[in-house]
Amino acid sequence: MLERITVGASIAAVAGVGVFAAVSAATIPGTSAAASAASTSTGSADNSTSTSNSSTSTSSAAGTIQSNSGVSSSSSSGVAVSGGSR
Amino acid sequence: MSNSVLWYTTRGAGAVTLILLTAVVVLGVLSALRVQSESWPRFLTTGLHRNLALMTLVFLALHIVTAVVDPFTNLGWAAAVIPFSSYYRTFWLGLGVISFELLVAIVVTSLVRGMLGHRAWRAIHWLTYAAWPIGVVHGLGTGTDAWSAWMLAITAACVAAVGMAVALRLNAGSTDPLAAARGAFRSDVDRREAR
Repeated sequence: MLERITVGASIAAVAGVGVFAAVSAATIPGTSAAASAASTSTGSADNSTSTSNSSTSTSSAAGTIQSNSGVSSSSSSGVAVSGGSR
Repeated sequence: MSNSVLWYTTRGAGAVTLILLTAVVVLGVLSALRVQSESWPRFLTTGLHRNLALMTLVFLALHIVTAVVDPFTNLGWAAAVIPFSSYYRTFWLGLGVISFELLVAIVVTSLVRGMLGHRAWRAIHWLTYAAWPIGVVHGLGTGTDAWSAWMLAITAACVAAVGMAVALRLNAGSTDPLAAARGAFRSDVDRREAR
């Protein structure tokens, strides 16, 4: 019985390394979900800028502000990808 | 092998090592409590405690080797054996090195227990109570995933498991069935020597 439990525990441990490695790869700041979220936010910032430019010239200041916020969130995630989060 | 694979393996092996070490500590406390039942004889607790301790060292070695050979951190082997010598997260990695060395001392002295004598072995074995929390703090301080929800859940579960086992141990008092007889014998010997 001890042998069976030990073998089971070792198999679970090896599998655990794989599972946790995969989970950590998926949840690391700046990659996967986080990175795609960052690119989405950049895209929406671009859209908002273009929308504001096309809609009216008086709203260009607001459009610039939105654009800046989009760029800043994108660049902070970019730092995380390049190794800052390690 | 890419840097990322090494890094992910380091983190995965670190999480598994924490779980295994927690299981070892809990089983050690349970064996001191002489926990047993019809379906779970006491030798299973002590046998599993020993086997999981050896397994913990294997996964700890994987954790350390993958961290050292990862070119991103460029730790070097000295940082893996000399506490607080790493340029990278010096304090937190230093705690990990101390925990690792305490574990090696515990396992090696357990393997040569017959040569050491019970008292010396037991004294060194108490270091486990230092190695485990130091390992947990190392993970919280240096782990990339330390504050991720999944890693926080693992850490919290490990802390709860050891906390409950230690609380049980403290509440149980002496579990040695011969403790009273030994105490009486010792006081008798002391009285005779005093005469």
